[in-house]
Formats: sequence, C-alpha cells, structure tokens
Amino acid sequence: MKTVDAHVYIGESLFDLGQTPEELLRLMDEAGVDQAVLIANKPKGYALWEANQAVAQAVNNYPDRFYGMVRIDPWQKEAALEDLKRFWEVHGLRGLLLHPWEELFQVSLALVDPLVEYAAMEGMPVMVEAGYPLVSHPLDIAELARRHPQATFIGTHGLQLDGAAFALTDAEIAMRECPNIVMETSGMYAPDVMENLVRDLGVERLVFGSHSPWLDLRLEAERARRLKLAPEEKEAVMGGNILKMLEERR
Amino acid sequence: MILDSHAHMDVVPSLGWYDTAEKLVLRMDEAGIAKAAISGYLNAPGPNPDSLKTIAQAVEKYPDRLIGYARMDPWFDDECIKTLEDAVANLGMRGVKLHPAHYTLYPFGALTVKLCRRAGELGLPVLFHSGDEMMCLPYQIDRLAEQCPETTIILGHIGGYFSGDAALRVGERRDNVWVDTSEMPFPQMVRQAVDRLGAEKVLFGTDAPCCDIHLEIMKVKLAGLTDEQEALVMYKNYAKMMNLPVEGQ
Repeated sequence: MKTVDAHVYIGESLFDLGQTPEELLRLMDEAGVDQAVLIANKPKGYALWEANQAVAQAVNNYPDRFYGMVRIDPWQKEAALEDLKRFWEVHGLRGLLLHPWEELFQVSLALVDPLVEYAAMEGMPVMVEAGYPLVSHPLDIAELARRHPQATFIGTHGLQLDGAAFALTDAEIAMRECPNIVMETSGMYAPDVMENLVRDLGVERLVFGSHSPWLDLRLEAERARRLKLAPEEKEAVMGGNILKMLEERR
Repeated sequence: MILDSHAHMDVVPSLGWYDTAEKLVLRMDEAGIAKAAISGYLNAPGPNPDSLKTIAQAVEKYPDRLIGYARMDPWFDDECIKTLEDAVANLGMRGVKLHPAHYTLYPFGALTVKLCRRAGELGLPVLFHSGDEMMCLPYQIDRLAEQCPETTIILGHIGGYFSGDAALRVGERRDNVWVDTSEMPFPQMVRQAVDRLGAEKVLFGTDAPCCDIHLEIMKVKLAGLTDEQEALVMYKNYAKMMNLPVEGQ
C-alpha cells in the first residue's frame, strides 16, 4: 500500500514554519510516508511566485517522492490566473491551493471564481485551507463548491478547526450537500465523523494529509492509519484517492 | 500509570452524541487509562433534569475508573449553586465543567465568579473549555481566575487551535491556573506548556471518546519531555490535585 500525504508545506516561511525538501523526506521516512504533495509556504518576501518555483524544483529533483500544487493569491486577480496557468502548463504542478487565512479572503468571494473555473476546466483539484475563523468555515466552502459543480475541492482539517465541535455538523452538511468536496484528515479530532463519511458517502470522499510542518506529520499519519476502515478503503484514503485526483487531466 | 483529567460520557440524541460509560471504559481499557474525569454534554440546571444523575450512575458503576464532574450553567445563579452543593453531597461530584459558549455568559461576570468561588470552597477544580470561541477565550477566563484566587481553574485544550499562547500567558501569570493537553493537535504546544508553566501545571486529558486516546497519548510522547516531566503530566499532577492513590505508593 502506497502512503501519500496530500498536504505538506515546504520552503522558508513568513510564520517561522520553514521546512526543506530534505527535512521533509526524513520525516516522511520516519512516518512511513512514500510520497507527498508539496505546497509553497508563504515566504518572508511575500513572493508566492518564487516559492511556487521552489516547489516545482523540488518535484523535479525528487519525482518519485513529490507532487506539487500551486499556491495562488486571488487578490492578484489577472496575474493570479496567469500564474495558475503557467505553473499548470509549464511547471507541472497538479492542483490549486487556496489559503484564505494567510492570503486573507473569504473563500466564497467572487474573486476566487476565475481560478476555480480554470482548475475545473483543466481537471485540477482545488485544495482549500479550511476552518479558519470567518474566512473558510465549512459552509463557506460549500457555497463555493455549489457554485462550481464541475470542480473538485479538498477541504483540509475535516473542513473545520473548531475545538468546541459546533462546526462538525456544518462539515457533515457541506459533505452531504456537495458531492464535489473531499475531506482531508489533518488535525481532525473526531474519527467517527470520518468513518461515517466513508460509510455513508463513499471512500473516495476522504484523503490523508498532514499539514506538516504546522501539524506533526508522524501524529497525523497515525491519525489517518487509526481509522477503522476495510483494507481497500484504507488504501484509497492513505494514497489511492489523491493519486487519482492528481492524475486526472482533462 | 495514566490519569485522564478530561473525558466525557452522555447520550444526547438531539446532538447526535451517543457516548455511554461502557464505550468510554472500553476505550480506556484499550489505551491503558487508569481513571478518567467525566462530564456530560448538557448543563445543569438545564434541559435534562437527570444529567448529573447520569454521571453519578456511571461513576457508581465504575467507581475505580471514573471521577464525576458537574457540567453547569451559571445563569441559574442560586439554583445552580444549590444544584452543585447537592451534587457534591449526594452524587459524589468532584469537579465542575464549564463550557461558556454553550450557555453564553462572560466567564468573568458575577454569576460565573460566584459559582467558581463556591466550587473553590467545596474543594472542586473548575475545568473550562478554552479555545477560540467567544466566551471561552483565555484572556476572558483570566479575568475570572483573578477574581477566584482560591479556586483551581483548568484551561482545557491549552487554548485550542489559535489561542495557545494566550492560554500559556494566563497560566504564567495566575498561580491558580492549570492547562490540559486534550484535543488540540500540537505536540509542540505540550512542550511549550511544560517549558513556560512548569510540568506541575500541565495535566493530561483526552476529551475521549470524541478524540482517539491513543493519539492523545502519542501527542504527549512526541513533545520530547523528560521521564519525570512526562510522569507529572500523565498522572502525578492530577493525582495530587484530586488526592488519588498512585500505583506503587
């Protein structure tokens, strides 16, 4: 069984959460993770374009271990769309990453639409950093997903970051309402919700990710492995699903 | 030995939560938890008049494994205090659990201060849900802790996802404030709590059965504590706080 971490950041970090590809590879080996999908940290100079290039370079250097997604700031408007196209067409990055908390936009704003439309047209998954206060609540993501039924979204953290568990219900509603949202496992404290999701809505709706280095890759890999799933379901969640999504190209 | 300072049991169909005492004890057995402090999901006084009896019955069934906390709603003022006194005298409750986002009162307001002072007089710790929700912010609970210096206050979840630094600042400035490790996903926050507050003020908790106990233990193991620090966090501190017997002593 191949284990693929769908959600990892690399590069220097404005928020002191830097990680080099080599440091990440050591962590992956320790945690028994074969491959990872890389995303650029927001760098100290704020230049996402350069950070995305470093991701493309790392994928190039370790093609057996890494895939990459391109991180785009929708506030860059036309330049954002140009960047998305270039990193998809030229540099081979295979998904779009939206970080509403660090780039500061509510994910259901119209600002995001051109990027998502392009991603849907090309068959790139759109990963949304989910659960951040006011900007990426589960129902914000549902709003975006309903507007773009042709796009596939990955909502991180079980779609929420809510220790009081109020948002678990919203996350379940978003998953039921929107067949084009896939839940990612990092930091998701309620295993029952993820197990029920697989049982009720299908195994293709859940993917393992760690959100390393903000979260601990070893703990997050264990979190996903501990889910009570059948062996073939586990294989899909631990890597099969994300690989299928990355390999789809329209 | 492992003592869990923060767990739950309750069956509340309207919330979709079916967490029986049997389910919790089974999970405790699997993970090697000796004892756990439990509270329910509804406040007393509140919509279920038997909420505290449910906890008491669970403790009666597993007296060596479970410690009962009364989850309360300070809105009810004297009725709440009376309910607490009765719960201590007749239902064996040993702590108070407060989740201010569930009843929407400022934790530093007069009603909560009154309840927490009475809890302190009765020798009960008060465990707060602390986190990123309004009414549960560490700096709000700080202003309660200041008014109840004789009451042991525990900030559950070390402030959750985004309020960890705030929870630790409160713990640093208040002698009566502890933190518990439950639910939040950061091994490094456990490490920081031990470094900044001293291992004596950090309690192991799981928030089971919602959270996976195995992962809650692993999180502490990944924090890189010394053996003595880990022993304090995993059981010694809570045993001392609650006057519980400790294995081998």
